Amino acid sequence: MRGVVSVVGVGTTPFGRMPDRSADDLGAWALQEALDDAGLTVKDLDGLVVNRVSGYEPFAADQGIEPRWVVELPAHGRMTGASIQLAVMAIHTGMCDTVALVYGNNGRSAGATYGGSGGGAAEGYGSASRELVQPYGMTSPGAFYALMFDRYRSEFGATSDELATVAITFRRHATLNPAAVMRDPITLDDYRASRYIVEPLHIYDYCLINDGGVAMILSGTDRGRDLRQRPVPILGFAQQGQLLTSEHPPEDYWAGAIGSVGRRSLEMAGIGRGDVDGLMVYDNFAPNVVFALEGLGFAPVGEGTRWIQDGRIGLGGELPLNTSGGHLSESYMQGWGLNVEAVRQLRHQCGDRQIADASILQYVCSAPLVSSIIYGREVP
Amino acid sequence: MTLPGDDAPLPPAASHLAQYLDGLAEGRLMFQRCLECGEGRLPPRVRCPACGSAAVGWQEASGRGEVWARCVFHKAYGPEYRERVPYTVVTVQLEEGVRLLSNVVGPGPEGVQVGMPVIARAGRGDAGVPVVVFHPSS
Repeated sequence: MRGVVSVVGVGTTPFGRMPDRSADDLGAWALQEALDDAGLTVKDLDGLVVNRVSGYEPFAADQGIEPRWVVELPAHGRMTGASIQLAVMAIHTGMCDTVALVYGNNGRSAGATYGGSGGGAAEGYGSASRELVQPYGMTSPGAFYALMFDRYRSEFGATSDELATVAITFRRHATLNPAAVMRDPITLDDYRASRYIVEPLHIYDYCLINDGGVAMILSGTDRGRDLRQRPVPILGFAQQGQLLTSEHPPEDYWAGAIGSVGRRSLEMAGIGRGDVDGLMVYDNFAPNVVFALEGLGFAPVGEGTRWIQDGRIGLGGELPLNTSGGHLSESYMQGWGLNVEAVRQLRHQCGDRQIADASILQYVCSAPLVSSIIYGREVP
Repeated sequence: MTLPGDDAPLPPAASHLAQYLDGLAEGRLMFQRCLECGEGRLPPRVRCPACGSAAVGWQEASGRGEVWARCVFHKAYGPEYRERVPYTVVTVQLEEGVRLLSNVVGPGPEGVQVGMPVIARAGRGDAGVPVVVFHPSS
């Protein structure tokens, strides 16, 4: 399956606050951008994956898409990798030839807070019933990562000052990205002075909440060579659940699942970890970046917050991460934006924030469902 | 009247959570123990996460445990939490090895740390909801 399918088009809307746009409007806007990018029209699409828009049926009908294959997955960030992987498999098996993946998020204007007692998947975390979280005030997904980082720091002696490097680095990257929502640089002093949301996590450790849309178009790599952009082949991918005890912070910080996913992704891609030029890491909350680096084996277990120091994860460093600014500073597009950034980096279209000679990039999402995708500039 | 399928064995209804909450309401902290492999678990589940068996028994916890992780909410996610912030949420590890989410009552946020020994108290909370909270124990 290695490199048989490529990303042939990507599209993003502006990010921020767009109160007059629905999720469908934003998804449709991004789709048009992606079609223009690829030099295709909706009539070239025969596959559709939608996420967070109103539904596959109204979206397809509005957009004039009659798919041979269609799927709609829940609006969980951990399903982003799963969506892309499914689309690759659908093309590979011949169920369809060209798939649009569309994501629209009007969370900022709709007042999403990712917490509280209003119900829905964002209320708490894991699979615990409401009766087991609400009376105790365990009302936000960020608190799950706060518990994880508290356990982690007591186990390994990590500090908040060390963790701050994640937010500070991603913000610096965002200053080089005209599309980023947050572009003012932050310092360690700014981080220290910032308020806690759920201690030990500061507000800078939290993803943004904003509106926006992202779309990707996947097709066969051979077909992609005839299109407008250089195709970016998908070289490898894997998933692993750690769902059985997901109501509790995992004592291995998901390292077992992340490690398995990392190994299998590299194996499918036929490359080694050292071939990866940069990572796009699901940064819903800053500690998750550290857990991903340890799980993948880039950083030794328990050393992650120290490993990220001295410019290692910044542009020009040993392993640049989230060159767009990620969820912390560019835009909270639940992983979709990170995958698009990987594609643009591999096309060498990222201007001031370009990773020099980028040839292999990896997306990883750590959660009770871990996923990873490896993209190449070409099939090695 | 006999409905189709009445004679077929049906999977159990999802009453495990109700059993757990009934225990709390009666002042007892119960956890499930797999009758096949002996693994303890909370929250209650239909099958054992370790071996997959649906053969389940219940055991009353001693109530003794320690704080395994803690966090402090400074933001109130909803009006009902506005009076409580800042408040601590903890994962407690019971001496039987089972973990659960709860609060430590008594000390403020600074007084709750990983490794701190605690003891459970189950019952009905202010709103009549079954809860289990923990107190420091020495």
